[in-house]
Parts: sequence; structure tokens; C-alpha cells
Amino acid sequence: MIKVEHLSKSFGALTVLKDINTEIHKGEVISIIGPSGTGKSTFLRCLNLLERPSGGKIWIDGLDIMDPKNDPSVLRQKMGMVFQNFNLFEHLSVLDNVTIGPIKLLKKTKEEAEKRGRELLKLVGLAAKESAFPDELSGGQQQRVAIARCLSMDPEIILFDEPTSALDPTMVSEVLGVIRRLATDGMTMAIVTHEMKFARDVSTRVFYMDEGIIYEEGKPDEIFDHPGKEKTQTFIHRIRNFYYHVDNSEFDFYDMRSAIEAFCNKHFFQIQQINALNLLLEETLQLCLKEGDTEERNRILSTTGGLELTIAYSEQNSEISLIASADAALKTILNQSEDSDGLSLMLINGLAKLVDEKVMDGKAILTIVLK
Amino acid sequence: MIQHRDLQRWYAVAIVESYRYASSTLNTGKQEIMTPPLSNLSAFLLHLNNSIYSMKNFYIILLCLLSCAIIITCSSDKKEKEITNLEELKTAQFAAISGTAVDQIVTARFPETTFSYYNSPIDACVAVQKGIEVVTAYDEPILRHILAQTPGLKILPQMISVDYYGMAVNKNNPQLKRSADSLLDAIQADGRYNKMMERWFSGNSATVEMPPIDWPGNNGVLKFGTSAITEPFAFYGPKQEIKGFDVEFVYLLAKSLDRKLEINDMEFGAIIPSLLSGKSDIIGACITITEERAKSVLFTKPYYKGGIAAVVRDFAPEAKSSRLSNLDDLKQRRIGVLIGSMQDHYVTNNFPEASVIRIDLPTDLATSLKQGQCDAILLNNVAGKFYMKQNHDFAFLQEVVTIDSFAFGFHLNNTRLRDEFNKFLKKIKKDGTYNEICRRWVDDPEAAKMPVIKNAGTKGTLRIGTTGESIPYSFVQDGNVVGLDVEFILRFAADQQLKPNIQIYNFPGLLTSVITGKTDIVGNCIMITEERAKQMAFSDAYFSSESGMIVMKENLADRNDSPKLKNDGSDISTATIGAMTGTTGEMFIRTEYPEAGLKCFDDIMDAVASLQAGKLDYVLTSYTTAIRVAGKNKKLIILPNRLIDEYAAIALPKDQPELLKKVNEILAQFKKDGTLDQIINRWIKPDSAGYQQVAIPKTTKGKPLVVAIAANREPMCFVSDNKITGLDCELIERIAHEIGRPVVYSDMKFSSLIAALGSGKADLVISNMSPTEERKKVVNFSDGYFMNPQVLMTVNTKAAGDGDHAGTSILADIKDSFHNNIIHEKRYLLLWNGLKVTFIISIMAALLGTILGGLICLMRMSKAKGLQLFAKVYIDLLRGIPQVVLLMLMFYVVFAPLDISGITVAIITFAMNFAAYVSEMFRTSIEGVNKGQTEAGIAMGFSKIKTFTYIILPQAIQRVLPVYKGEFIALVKMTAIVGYIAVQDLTKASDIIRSRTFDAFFPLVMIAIMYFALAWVLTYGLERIQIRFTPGRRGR
Repeated sequence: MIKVEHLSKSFGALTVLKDINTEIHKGEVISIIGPSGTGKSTFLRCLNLLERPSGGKIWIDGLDIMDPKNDPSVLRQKMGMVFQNFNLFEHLSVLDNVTIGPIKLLKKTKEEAEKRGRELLKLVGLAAKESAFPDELSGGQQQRVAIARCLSMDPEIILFDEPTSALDPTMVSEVLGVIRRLATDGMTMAIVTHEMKFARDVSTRVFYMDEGIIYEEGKPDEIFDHPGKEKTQTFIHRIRNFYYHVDNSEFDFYDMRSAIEAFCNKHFFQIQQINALNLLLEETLQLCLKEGDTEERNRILSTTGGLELTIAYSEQNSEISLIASADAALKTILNQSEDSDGLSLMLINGLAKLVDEKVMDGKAILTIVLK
Repeated sequence: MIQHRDLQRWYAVAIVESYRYASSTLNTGKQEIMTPPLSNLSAFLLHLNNSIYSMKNFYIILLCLLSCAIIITCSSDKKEKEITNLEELKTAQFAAISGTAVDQIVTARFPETTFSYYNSPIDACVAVQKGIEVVTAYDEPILRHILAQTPGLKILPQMISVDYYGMAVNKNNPQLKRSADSLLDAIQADGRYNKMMERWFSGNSATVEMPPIDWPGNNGVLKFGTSAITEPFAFYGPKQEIKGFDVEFVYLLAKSLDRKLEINDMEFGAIIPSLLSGKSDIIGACITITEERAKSVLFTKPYYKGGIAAVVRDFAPEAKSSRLSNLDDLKQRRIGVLIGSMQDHYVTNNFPEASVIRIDLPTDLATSLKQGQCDAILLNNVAGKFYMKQNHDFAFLQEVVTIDSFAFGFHLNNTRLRDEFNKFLKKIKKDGTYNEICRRWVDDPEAAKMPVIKNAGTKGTLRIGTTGESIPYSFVQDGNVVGLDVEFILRFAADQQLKPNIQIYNFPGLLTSVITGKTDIVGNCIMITEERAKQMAFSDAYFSSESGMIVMKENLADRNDSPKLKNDGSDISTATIGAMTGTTGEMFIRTEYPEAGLKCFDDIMDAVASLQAGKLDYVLTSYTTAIRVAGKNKKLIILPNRLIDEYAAIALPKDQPELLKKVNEILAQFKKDGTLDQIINRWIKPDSAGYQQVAIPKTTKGKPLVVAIAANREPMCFVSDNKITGLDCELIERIAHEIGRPVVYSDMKFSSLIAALGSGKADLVISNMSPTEERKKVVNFSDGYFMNPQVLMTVNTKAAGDGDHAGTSILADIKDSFHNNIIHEKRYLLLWNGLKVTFIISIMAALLGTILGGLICLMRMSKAKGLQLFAKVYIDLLRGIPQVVLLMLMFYVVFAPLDISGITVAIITFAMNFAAYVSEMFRTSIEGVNKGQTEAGIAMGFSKIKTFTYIILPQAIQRVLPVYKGEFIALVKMTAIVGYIAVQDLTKASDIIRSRTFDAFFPLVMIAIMYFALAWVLTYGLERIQIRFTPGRRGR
């Protein structure tokens, strides 16, 4: 149905897509995953020419869409798109949003369009809101209307551009539910998403995009359970990292705490996990900065680039680990030898299932994995 | 009380500021030029100012302008008291001059005073003059000098502190002191001192010439030290020479000593040291004699007694000091003239020291005199006399000042038309039409009627320019432009078979219009000047008029102080009198009292209305009419003196001497046996009780006696119950009965009666007709049967003194004002047409401007650099040019070669301007629509254009409407300037009305309300549209 050959796209000097080659068939549900900035959205937007590709070819149902002879507007009618920010027509009511396309483009009568529109609103569970205006709806509701609006054009494929990224966590599931239902009904879809579980459940094929190409693709099981390439592995296993830089003991502790908390909430850490992580961090920093010859340690930290904190979360096995690294001159991050009472170390050992400290490539690295 | 005073002060400052602003924006050098809108504005402000003290207007304002009313409420109860005594200032606030010791001196005298500080004595004096400050104090001689140039101020006779001024010599030179003292004694004795005082302290010391040095100076040099910044004691004259009172004194001194004179100007602080060091022999520069100074120098006798004086407002400056008796008194006054007129030229040349107020409409000129903005106006007498009739406060200072000729103007290249006109002028002078036209318009322009001029109009169009605001040459009557000039031109057009097309301009625009070829001929009492002749072709002079200097009566020195009406008829020679057109009364006033103001009316009720409105002092009418009117209106009284004994008689054809004889016999008999008296008593009644009906013996057989009658003259002959009845009827029926013939009436217009008799259509005429010499030439008259004298009617002042009168008179005032400005002569039609024009221009300009604005916006947002640049330049250019200028540019330059109506030009201009503003609004509102909306539309399959139409545009409109609405209202108000290009809009309509009624207030308030209503209606319309475009807000 869609065939892509050597697709490339650059914005000025920045090359986002290098060389994309793939084919999407009718009935497939493709999930596109990968780190930020690897061109997932751009790829999607190139498919319906919202972005003009810099090179390569795209065929839709055998038609070269870059050929000036083919009107892109007609092609776009067959390809719905759902945006991250919903982009509902703000001056129109919900019902008008789902009927404007059929009336103006498909030349349906108003009655026909409204009948179908109401069906679609029922499908996405918003039949009661037909006379509301977009700004009166919640994000999840707006996104469901947007999906209904797509469906109103009877598209052959729907492109989802991060449909849940702009939503509050509580509203994600209502949207995913609708998409799941479409998948069951056999709609062809391409979904750019960060919801790994969803991607795994719903899709028939998964593209892992990195370095401007489709780095690896395969069935969800293959990609999520046995990723073939190293970058994919990293992404699947250690996909969630949080970095924080600490210069010396005078750093902004509360800023760090709130940043970590936001990160934890984003990934639905359990409250016990968050508490444990906080305690772990506190004790680690206590041992690193406040024990022993603190003046000397602070001087070393300040002059050698400080302490790098990384919190890594793997969705694969729900492991949370804390990695701290500093210049080797510090010798040891957990200054346990001069621990005044040994309580900190005891706490760390109690919370962690693995505590490993080593010096590698001129760096002292501490890895603690939470129980 | 303090609050009151502050508010009053604030109000005064606001008015002064607005004047300052007005004059600062338009000052050209020393002389002010007032454009009509500005003078309107200032007249309006003044009107407001006046109304503070006038309860009448106070109420009108209260009704109309709530905000003004607040200010007035705060100030109306406070009447400033004229200060006459220094002691009244004990606790006053003084305007002091910062950096001087005046405040200390005043405090020493009056410890309770407070001060506000000004930078110069002149500023302080102006503040006092404008009523912002109560009093200022400064050195008396300096103040005298300022006051000579600033009217409305006076110096209090008591000084705050007294100083003597004297000259000083070195202590070891007492001989010089003695010489100076004896010289002072000598000149004081022989009157030279007084003349010097007069010369130097009259306010124009700059023009005083010093006497020449005509003595040899054999006894050495007299070195005089002075500081030439002490006008009028010692100062630099226009030729950079040092002169002044002190200097002249030293001249005299040097002459008496026969010494050469050497004048040295130095800093004031240096003159005493110069004396001590011997560099000066004598010093003088308004030096105050103090004990301290007397220790080091030797003072001459004081030659001037001065000190710190207080200056307060003089509430009756004209009454006391500045009455005018001849033209010389105007030397330094404000003289109003028409801008660019011959009078302007004359005043500029002959009154170099006067400030010339140049105004471009005669109406505004009259208003400015009335409002006290000028002391005198120089105006041609035809117009001037008209204004004097309108305005009893005006009087001639000198009736003939200049004589000017008027001519019509043509385009410089259109001499063919000019020559045709000259030929035409010669023709009508020969056949008498010329005299007829002049008589018609000069005598009483208000009452004159434009004759119907037949015009085939087959040979094209004659574009005529005039102002319609220069009565009697060109003015608007019943919605038509009429007048002397207009009739000339229309007759000329008829002569040439050209279809006339009259366009109304303001005066400067008028001349421009013919120069640029917008019009073919312009006529508006245009005077021939050399400058104008360079730019346009003039016809031969068709009319010449004397110009007279008009001043306010109260400023005239040789008039009585109380020209108030005595209401008893004794002042008839100077009063304004209303008379019926074409009656003997009118002729009587014209011949017997040429100085009286005469107003002619067709309808007695109009005359009575004017009388009650105070526009007339008397109405002259026949006794019968007077009785009827006074019977109905108890406020009117009939004065006992009979001005003309007029009698009514029966008219018969000349060829019927027997019938005449018979009628006379019967009349004599009726008079003898009392029948006539009975008849008269039956019909002539002072009260309006019903007429007594009696059976009149009638003859039914025989040849009918056809009686021509004009049955609209109650009680003489009138229609009652569809029957002709009245005194005349009863008389003639009785006479007919005596003759033995039945009566048949033929009712016709009064003016046709004589003609009916002449043509044999009637046997006799009885219709309250009085025998006049003219009538006697064509018909015979019987003896008189009824004495009907012309009497004077006036308002009963005694009855008007009642308490409730005030209330009714305010209402009557409003009613009268309303009637005069709106109803009279169907002036509401002017306003209505003006409103239509304003509406059409606003709507069309908005529509066109919106479309154009959309295009400009598209260009501005297009990717083509050229279009973008064009749009940007267009927007910047149009926004940077004042609308008035743009409008005139379009009319007089851009569209000048094309024959396009002013309305079209106005629409195009305002549309262009509107487009520049709204295009930017459109752009920002389009750019304000979220980019995601476009993407969503495109992604759905809408083309770019469809996306814009269905998705972006509705949202942009929703955003732009609130600001668009504001801009639209601004456009509506902006159209008020179209009067500049001869379009009669609402504002122009009010100008025209004001030019007739001299009522600044009512027409302005009226159009203010109309503009407001128009804006409100249009806003409401736009609001409806806005609601349509705003989703979901319909019900909210």
C-alpha cells in the first residue's frame, strides 16, 4: 500500500532522515519507536507530504506522490492524521469538526455527514458532546474527537503522531483504548509512540528508528524481547535515563528532588520505589560529599567537572538503577572507609540489590540497582 | 470651597490650554490664522465658557452633556468678584515671579498670603487675565508696560510697597546732580515730563523715536551708564539703538549741558561700580533709590514713583479704558478679516501693530466678534449689514473703510468662458436684469426668493464653485444654494444653455478648485487681487462693495451706556422691526427709519415667533391683525402710537365712474347713519370672542355684482364655515343691496385682485385694500371705509417679570433654538442629507477598504518579495499621511483631471486609508491563528485555499472583529473632514445651519448626537456579525 525508497529529509544543515526504505501493507499496525530527535514524526509527516522530502520516492497505491501530476490533497484524503496537539478546528463544534470534511471534500449532504458523524462520535464515546466546542473538552476527549474526525473521511490508513504525548497520564488510556479498538477492526495504522507496552500489544510490526534510518524492524516480540542490535537493546532495556549534574556540596538539592520526582511520576514508579530512590540518593550524596576530608573532596569535584548522576529505568524488567560517576581523582564515590557511623552504608545496602563501585577509563563509577 | 476653586481653575486652564494648543499649531509668526473647524471648536469652547454664567445654557448643557454639567455645577455658583482694593487681597494667592524678592515684599505686607510661581511677569499677567490667578505683583513700571499690551487687567491704585526711581551720579560730582535736578524740575513744569511718560509707558515704546542729537557738544563728553534690559527705561530698539525714558532724559541733560553723549550698556550689577570708578558720569536704569545705595552714590531727585504693585483682572476693560471712537483706536487691537481678502491686505498694511485674526468664513468672522475673539472686524458692507441686522450688538465704527470690487473667477486658460461672461454681464446691465438681481439680494437676502431660471442645458455642463456660506452672495435657503453670485451664474448658465452643477467648497478650496480646473466658474464675493489674477482669470467686476469696520456696540465710545429697549416705541429708529413683506409698513420703515433693522415676513406668525424669541424688538402690522394676534397671545401688547394712518377702500375700474360715485354716496350715507360704525363694531373686537351674526338684507335679482376678494384677512374678509364672511363682506353686501344687485364673490390671491379688476373679471374689489399711489394709477378707489393704522406690537415686559417666566423662557428658548436650527426652512433636510452622505461614505469606504485591506494583507503575506515590499510601503505611506492632506491630494491633484464627484473621491480616499489600517489587523489576526489549524486542514485533504477559506478565515474574522469595530467607528468620525472637498456631510450641514442661525451650540450638539447615534447603530450591526462568527457565544 505504501512503499518508501531512499527517503531523506534535511532541515538546512541538519539531516533528520538519511535513507528510509520500507513498505506498509493493508491491515498492518506499525508502531514507530525510538529516542527523541531520530525523525519518527518527520517520517510520518513526509508520508502525507506535510513535510516535503529532500530525496527518495514514496508510492501510495502505486502512485508516486511526489509527481506533480498527482494532487496531494486527494492522496491526503485517504490518509488520516492524528496530531500530538489534536488541532481540532476551534471555531467549530464537535459535530461540525467531524462533518466539515465529508461535506466540503466528499460532497456528502449535511444529513448524511451528520448521521455518520454521530456514529463516529458514539464510537469514540463522545456522542453526548456533539454541540460542545473544542476548548470545552479535556485533552483526552479532544484527541478522541480528532480520531473521529480522521475516520469521518473514511481513510485507508491513519497516521498517529505521538497521540498521547500531550495528555495528562490519566487521559492516556482513554485514547489508547480507542486506537486499540481501531486495530481490532482492522484499520491500517502507523503510530509514533513512547508507550512501549501499548506498542507491543497493539502492533503487528515495530520500527525502531535511530540515526535517521529504520535501525531495526520486526514483530513486537522480536524487537522487545530479543532486539538484534545493540542500540535497540539499550533503548528497550535502558530506555529511561535521568541525568543530573552536581558540582559540589552547594548544589540545589530541592531542584534535584523535584526533577527526580517528575521523572518518577512520568514512568509510574510506585510510591515505595520513589521513596527508596530518594533515600538511596540522599545517602549516596551524604557519603560522597559530607564525609571524610570534605574540603578536599569538594575541591576535586569542583575542579574535575563534578559528579554525574544518572537514574536509569528499564521498562523491560522494571529495574531502577542509580549510576554516579566522577573523576578518578576522587578515588571512591562512597567514602565508606571514613563513614562516621556506617549507618549510610547500611541503608544503601539494605535498599539495593547490587552495589558496585569501580574505576574505569579515568572515572570512578558507582552503580546501585534498587531492589 | 477650596475644591470649587480648584475645579474652576482647572477648567480655566483647560480652556486656556486648548487655546494655546490651537494657536501654537496654527500660529504663523505673530498673527493667528483660524481655520473653520478650529474656530468652531474655539467658539464652542467659548460658548461653554459663557454658559457657566448663563443659567439658560446651563440647563441645556445639563440635558445634553452630563460631564460638562458636573464641571459647571462645581463652578456656576461661584461668581468672581472684581477686586478694587488692596486690602481684599490679604489672604489671596499671589502669582509671584520666581527668583525675585516680590514674594518677600508681599509677605511683609500681608503675612497670610500664599504664592504660586511663574517664570516671567508676562506669564503671571496672562494667568491673571485668564482667571487662573487672582492677582500678581511686580515692579509697577514693568507691569504698566505689560498692561499696555494685555487688555483685561488693571493695576490697583494702592502699592504694596513704594519705591522711588532716580539717576545717580558720583558723590564728588554734586554739580551734575544739581543740573539733573533742575532739568527734571524744568521738564515737569513745562509738561515735557508728562509727554515723555506718555510716550514711553503707552505700551509701544519700541516704536518711539529718540530725538536727534543736534547740539555741538562743546563741553566734553557725558558718559551715561545703563543696563538696557529695563524697558521702557532703557532698552534696545528695533534698530539696535539704546533708548528709553532714562535715555531720553540723559539726552536732554546732555543737551542742556552741551556735552556729547556716550551711552554704555552693561550688566545691572556693574553700573554702580562703573560710576564709582569714573567710567560713567551718570547712571540710570530703573534704579530704585535705597538707603544702602545712597551711601555710595549720589541720587538725583526721584523722577518716577513706583514700587511693587498688584495686578488684578479688570472686569469691564472696555467700559473704562478701551472704548473705540475711531479707526486709530484699533491700532493695537485684534482685527478680524477674511483670510486672503482685500480687507486682510488693507489691515495688514494699515494696522501693522494690530494682530490680524484671519478667518475664512464671514459667519465665523461675525461669531468671533461676538465671542470677543476680535475687537473689530472689517467686512464688506453687504454682508456686514446683514450681520448687524442679525446681531443687535454690532455697530459700525466706520462705515466706509475700503471699497472693493468683486468678480467671478475662471480657469486661467478658460478665457473664452470669461469673455462670454463679460458679454453676458454687459447684456444684463443693459436690460435691467442686473439691477433686479442686485436689488433682490442686497435688500433683504433672507426674504429674497430665487427666481426660477429656465435652462435648456443642452450644450453641456457648467461646474460652479461657491461656498454657500457668504450671505447674501451665496448661501443655502430651503436646501438650495442661492444668492447674488449664484443667480448671476445660473443666469449665465441659462444664457449659455449649460446645465449648472453647483459644488460647495470652503473659501480656500474654492479658489483651488478653479485653479485646478475642478470647476469652470467660481463666485463668492471674490475680490480681485493681483496674486489671484496670476492664478485665475477674472471677469469684469460685477459688484462693488464698501467695507466697514464693525465692532461691538458696547465698545463704541459714542453710544449711550444703556441702549436697552424701553419697549415704548421711542427707540424705533435703532430697533429691529419686523414687517409684512410688501406692505406699507415695510415701505414706511425703509423710508422713515433707514437705520432701524428691518426684517420682512410673509406670515404674521413667523414675525410674532421672532418677536417672542427676542429676535425683534417690534412687529409693525395693521391694527386689525395686531388685535387678533394680541388677543390670542397675552404676552404681546399693542403700543398706542399709530405710525401710519392707513385706510381701507373699495377699488373700482377706472372706466366705471358712475359706480364709484354711487358707492361713495352709499358709504357717506352709512357713515352718517351709523351703519358703518355698527358693522365695524361687529367685526373689530379686541378680544377674540365670536362674531355677532346679523341678517343682512339681500337682493337676489338683477345683474350680479362680481366682487373680487382675497378671503384670508380675518376679520375683514375670511372663510368661516366654508362661507366668505367678514367686515368687508357685510359692507359690500349692504352696498350691493342699496344698489340693487346681488353679490357674487370671486376669491383670489391678493396680488391678483387689481389685475382681475383691470381685465374686467370683477366689478369691484373689497379686501382691506389701502389705496397706494401705485394702485391709484390703475384703479379708482372709493372713500375710505375703515381706518386701519399700522401699529407696533411688542412683548409685554411687565407680564414677563413673573417668577414662573424663567422656566417657560428656557423651554421657549430650547424650542425656539430647535425650531430655528432644525425646523425652519426645513433645515432638518440638510441634516438628513448630510447624515445620508456620511453614512454612504462610511459604509462604502469600509466595504471597499476592507476588500482593499484584504488584498494588501495578501500581498504583505505573499512570498513574492516585490508584492511584500509594495504592501509595506503602501501601509507605511498611508498611515503616515494625515487624512485631510490625503483627501485634498486625491481631490485636487490625483483625481483633478477626472470628473469624479467629491463623494466618490472621499470614498476612495477613506477606503485607501482604512485598508492600510485593517490590512495589518487582518495580518496579525491571521498569523494569530494556530499553525496546527492549517496543518490539520491540509492533512485532512483540504487544498491551501480551502483550508484558508473554511478554517483560517472564520477564526481570523473572529479575532479581528473587536479591533475592526473600533477602526470602523474611527472611520465614521473621520469622514467629518470631507467638507474640505465640497462634500456636504453631516458636519458641513451643521456649518451651513450655523452660518444662518449663529447658534454654535444647537447644531453642534445635534450633529454630535447624530454621529453618536450613527456610530452606535453601526457598532450594533457589527456586534451582530461578531456574534455570528463567534462559536457557542451566541447564548452567552
